[in-house]
Amino acid sequence: MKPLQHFSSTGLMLILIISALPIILLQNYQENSGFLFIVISSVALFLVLLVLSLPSVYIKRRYGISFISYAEERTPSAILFIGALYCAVAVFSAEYSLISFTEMFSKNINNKALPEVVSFLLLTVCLYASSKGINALARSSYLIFAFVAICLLVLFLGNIGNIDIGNFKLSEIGSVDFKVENFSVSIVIPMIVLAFAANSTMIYGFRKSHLAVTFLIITFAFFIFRLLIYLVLGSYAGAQNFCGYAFSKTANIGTTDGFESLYLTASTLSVIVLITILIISAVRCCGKQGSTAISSLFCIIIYVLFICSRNYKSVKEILQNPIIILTIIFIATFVIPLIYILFSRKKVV
Amino acid sequence: MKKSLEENLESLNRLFLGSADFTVREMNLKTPARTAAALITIEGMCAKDVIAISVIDPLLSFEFSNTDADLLIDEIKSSVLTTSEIVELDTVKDAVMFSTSGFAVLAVDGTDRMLAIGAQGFSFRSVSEPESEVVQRGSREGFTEPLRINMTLIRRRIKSPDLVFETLTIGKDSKTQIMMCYLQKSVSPSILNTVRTRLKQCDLKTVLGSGYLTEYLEDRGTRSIFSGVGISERPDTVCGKLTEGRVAVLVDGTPAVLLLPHLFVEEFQSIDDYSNRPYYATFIRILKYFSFMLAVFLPGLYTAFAQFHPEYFPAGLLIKTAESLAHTPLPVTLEVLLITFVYEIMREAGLRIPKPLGHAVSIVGALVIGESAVSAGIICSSTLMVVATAAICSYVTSSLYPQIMVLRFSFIILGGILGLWGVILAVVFALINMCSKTSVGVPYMSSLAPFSIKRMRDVFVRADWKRLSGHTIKVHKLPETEAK
Repeated sequence: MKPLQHFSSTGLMLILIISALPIILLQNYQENSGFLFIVISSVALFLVLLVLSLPSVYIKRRYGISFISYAEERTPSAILFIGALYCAVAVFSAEYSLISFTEMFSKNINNKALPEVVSFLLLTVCLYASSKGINALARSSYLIFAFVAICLLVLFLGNIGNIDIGNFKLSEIGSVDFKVENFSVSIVIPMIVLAFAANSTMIYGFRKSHLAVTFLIITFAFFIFRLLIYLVLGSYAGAQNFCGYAFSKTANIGTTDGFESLYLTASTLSVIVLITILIISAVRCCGKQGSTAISSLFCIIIYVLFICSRNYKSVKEILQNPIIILTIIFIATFVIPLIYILFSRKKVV
Repeated sequence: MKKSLEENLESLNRLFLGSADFTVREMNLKTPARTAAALITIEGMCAKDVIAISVIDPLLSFEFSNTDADLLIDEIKSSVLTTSEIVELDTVKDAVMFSTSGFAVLAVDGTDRMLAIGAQGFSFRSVSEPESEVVQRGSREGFTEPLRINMTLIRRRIKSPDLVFETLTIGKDSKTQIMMCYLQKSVSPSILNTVRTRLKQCDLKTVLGSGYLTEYLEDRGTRSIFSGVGISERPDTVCGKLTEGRVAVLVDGTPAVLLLPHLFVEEFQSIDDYSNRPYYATFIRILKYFSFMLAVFLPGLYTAFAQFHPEYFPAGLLIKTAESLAHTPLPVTLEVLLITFVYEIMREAGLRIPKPLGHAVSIVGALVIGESAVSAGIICSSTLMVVATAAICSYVTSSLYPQIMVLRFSFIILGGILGLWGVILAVVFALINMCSKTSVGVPYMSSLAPFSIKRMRDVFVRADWKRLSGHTIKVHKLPETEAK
């Protein structure tokens, strides 16, 4: 009996939610941006997610397939270009998360650990997961979601004792000269829309409301994270060794100190899911499904890029630039699908 | 088959190569022409008293009016023999198969037909409680070796024409009888066909136990340390699984019945859960899941924490552990590995050695290796306690012991090399492996991943019978199942 190629909409939605978490977790929220800024960036995140996903949702609803399948059908000659672009964006996004994770790891978890080894091991697990296909990842995401949710709950509940309402000023926007970069870092999360645009052919029982709820959950998680950092961890986190990564080593329950283990667990699990879904999307854009050889190729490319970023600062700056990543995601998930919708319509049978 | 009795006997003799247990009782029937006949049996497989009273005595005392051998066979079948089971045979191959199954084969000179007479009487273990699945309040009956007895144990519990037994023969040399058992209104045709095809494709020469078939019944391309084939020695458990649309495979000569599809959550269910009160059954279920987690993770996490993150230990425990570890010569990873390894050796020895020697092993294990090693400062007492706790926990879900052992060793090694992060990576690896596995098209992790809220009433909790009986969920109706 062949393995099933279709999975329920919930599976992909959970993957998307978990995929959004590492970006939220790995951001440096040292800057106390103020409540209004948190609200604005959360609303902006939701809107950007919605807008970027509109073309692929339209294609999925109208034709029942993903954007990549649609493009393959309508313009077989151009799919090479579209596929290559999607692969590039997926690799770029995976690289962005990998660099952020290894930096956090070597800075805060174990400064003796070689980032090259950390990324190699992480990519090995991602390669194994991607070779098992999206079905296995979708099923795993149920359990990972539950576990990550518990980790984050403990992290936050452990810090409730330190809540500082005095910080809370409703009208404050934060430092006026907050950087555009800081804002764009927050909305880099739409890289997960790429996964939807590449893999939505395989999901059944898809409803628009599913995606809207997913985006709402991501936005809510983002909002709560930033609010709790602002209220609970804000100034307190600044006094810690781990101030760069506010969730770390701040919990204190009973005689057991240090919950960075939970932070490490949550971020590792979610970053694995994110990189794996991006590799799977890249493999899907090559017209293959569950191909270990193609997955290995992408892992090698990601690893080589990682080594380059370690040795050449300019490469790292490009790979870590949120504006560049946001722009290419915008082109891949919005502009190109929109062009297809407008100029390459097909009749619904 | 030839018409001549002599030739038939010769060909059978040739096939059995004059085996010592191949016996032929020649006789002359009371016909006008004194027709020659022979009764072929395999010694030890037939009940001698049944043969004497129900076969030989009627045959020799009956006065036949016919001389034609074909008519004689018909007459013997309809008017002479008093046994309940008579099968007509056309080929020597069939004669061999039936005689080796305990039938007495009657050959008459002048006809190319033979009769297989049911007179099985070999000795076998009686129906008794299975040692591997002991229950407190359930039935004390367990499967035994003969296939027919196992069949009756199931039939006695499901008295419905819906229950079907389908016979297959597997093993080129052993010709082992296999019985596929299912409820035709509950089972999915797709699952049934898949199981049937896989059994027919089995090209083993000898099948001496049901374990031989498990690898042939697993889904291809879903290699995992976990098994997609369930095993039970209890007829009540098998009957329960059949009502959920599963297929049972009974193998002659073994009390372990195979069940397909098999899910991860089933490893934590036992027949006692359904006899106990729901709240207690729920408590036991949660205890089992917790024990499984402890058995798998405890030594690995202890190694990772002691080696890389001592700050995770509560202050009191940290001081004691650090003190204790400081006085032992080996690094903590090696220590945990060593104790776990020694424990596995003792466990294996305990299983294999004769029972009277078992106490000696226990004493040597507990006193010499355990207490003495700690007092001599070779191993740390907290390490010993962690390994012992994990070992006890692994027996709560004994059917998962092989998997627990492999995972435990992996987590210890990775935890010792990479710390907590190594354990996390190993968890993801194991999780993906488990989630990619399917059992006859049904996801192995079904109920948990993909999540099914309806199934939750019999996963972590056991709902009351009023709720369970009204909505039996068929296994092929689970989410993401290929066979609908």
